[in-house]
Amino acid sequence: MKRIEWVIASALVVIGLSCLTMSATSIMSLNTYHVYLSNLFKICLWTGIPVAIIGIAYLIMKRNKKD
Amino acid sequence: MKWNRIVFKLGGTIILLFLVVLLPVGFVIDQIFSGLVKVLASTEGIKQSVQDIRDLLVLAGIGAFFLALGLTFVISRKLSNPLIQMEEATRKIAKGNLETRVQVISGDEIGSLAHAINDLALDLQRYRDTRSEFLANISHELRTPMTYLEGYAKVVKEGLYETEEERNRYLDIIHQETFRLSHLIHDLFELSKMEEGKIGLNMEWIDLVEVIENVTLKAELKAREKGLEIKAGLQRDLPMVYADGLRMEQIILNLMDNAIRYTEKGSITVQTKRANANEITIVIEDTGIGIPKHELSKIYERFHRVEKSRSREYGGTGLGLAIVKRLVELQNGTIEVSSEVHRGTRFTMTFPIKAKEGG
Repeated sequence: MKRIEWVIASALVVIGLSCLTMSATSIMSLNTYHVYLSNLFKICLWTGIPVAIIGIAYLIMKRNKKD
Repeated sequence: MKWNRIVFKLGGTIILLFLVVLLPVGFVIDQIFSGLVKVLASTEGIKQSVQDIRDLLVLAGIGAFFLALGLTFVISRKLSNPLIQMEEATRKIAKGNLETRVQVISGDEIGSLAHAINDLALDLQRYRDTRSEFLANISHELRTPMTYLEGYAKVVKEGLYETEEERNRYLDIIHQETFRLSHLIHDLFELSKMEEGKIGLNMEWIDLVEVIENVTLKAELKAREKGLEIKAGLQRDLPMVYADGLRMEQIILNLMDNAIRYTEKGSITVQTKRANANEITIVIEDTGIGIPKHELSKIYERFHRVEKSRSREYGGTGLGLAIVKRLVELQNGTIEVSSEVHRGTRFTMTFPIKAKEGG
């Protein structure tokens, strides 16, 4: 993938996550910037952890296969 | 209509309800209508909340859509990238850049396809190299007799000879070269037919001993001219072999021709024996000049000659062994060679005995 394609994909993911976080924050009637950022961080964290675990496991498996 | 506010207390939480619905509660005491209480509350708040939730759901939907779009974009690019690479590689191969190879990363179907493309490119490359070599060889092999023919025909035509004997010698050379040329063209035609798979074999039950005896008779004259002896050690009780009789004769004759050509003194031995329950072996052995070990793997290549400098002296087209190998393989046989320089060469062919159908 080219750099521009990564930028486009990342932008789409960030827009999507922001919309979801904004929606979740507003539904809790906590419309502050701080809460919004905190929620966004939590969502990214809990989405990122499984992705990171799967990615590391995949890399380890790939390295073992090569050896 | 007066707006009423109803206050409920539930578990310590105060709940306010605005109702726009008229709630008539009548009081009937002793069948006499005594009065009516009307409670009214507004539903605007609920409507607003529902509208807010609806808006937020739309926003969440848009967010999910963008998120899915971004992830799908990455996944689709990751999936299509190897295919794009393969497309580029195949286009390069189609343009003639046969050194192109696809980088194989995965071991799945995509990886398998990449392997197949690499194999195809390798085959094409080998085919192209062989074809170029073949064309170079063929042009060389055709040019040499043509040069002889041209030169000696010119000498005869312009009367550049002194005696009648000299003229006859030149005519003899022209005749020999014409024969060689026609033999070469015939061999080439045979070989190309075999390689294209267009050769038709007339498979039947044949007696190998009979075939070998016929060939020995044909080759005997040539051998005697060189002072060579042909020894035949044929096992008589061999079963019939399912093969093409004429082609089998061609195989043995080619090998015996070769043996006679490269043997100056000694003998040529032909043997047949049963190798095992399912196979028959034919061995043709000479006491000729032999083949160096490093040349043994190349002797079945077209136009390959061990004695390049003396090829004209020995004669032959350089296609005999290539034809032999292909004919043996077409009849489900195998051929092996072993040789020692100045001691001789031994060709061993093995053919399967197939059970006769219906008996």
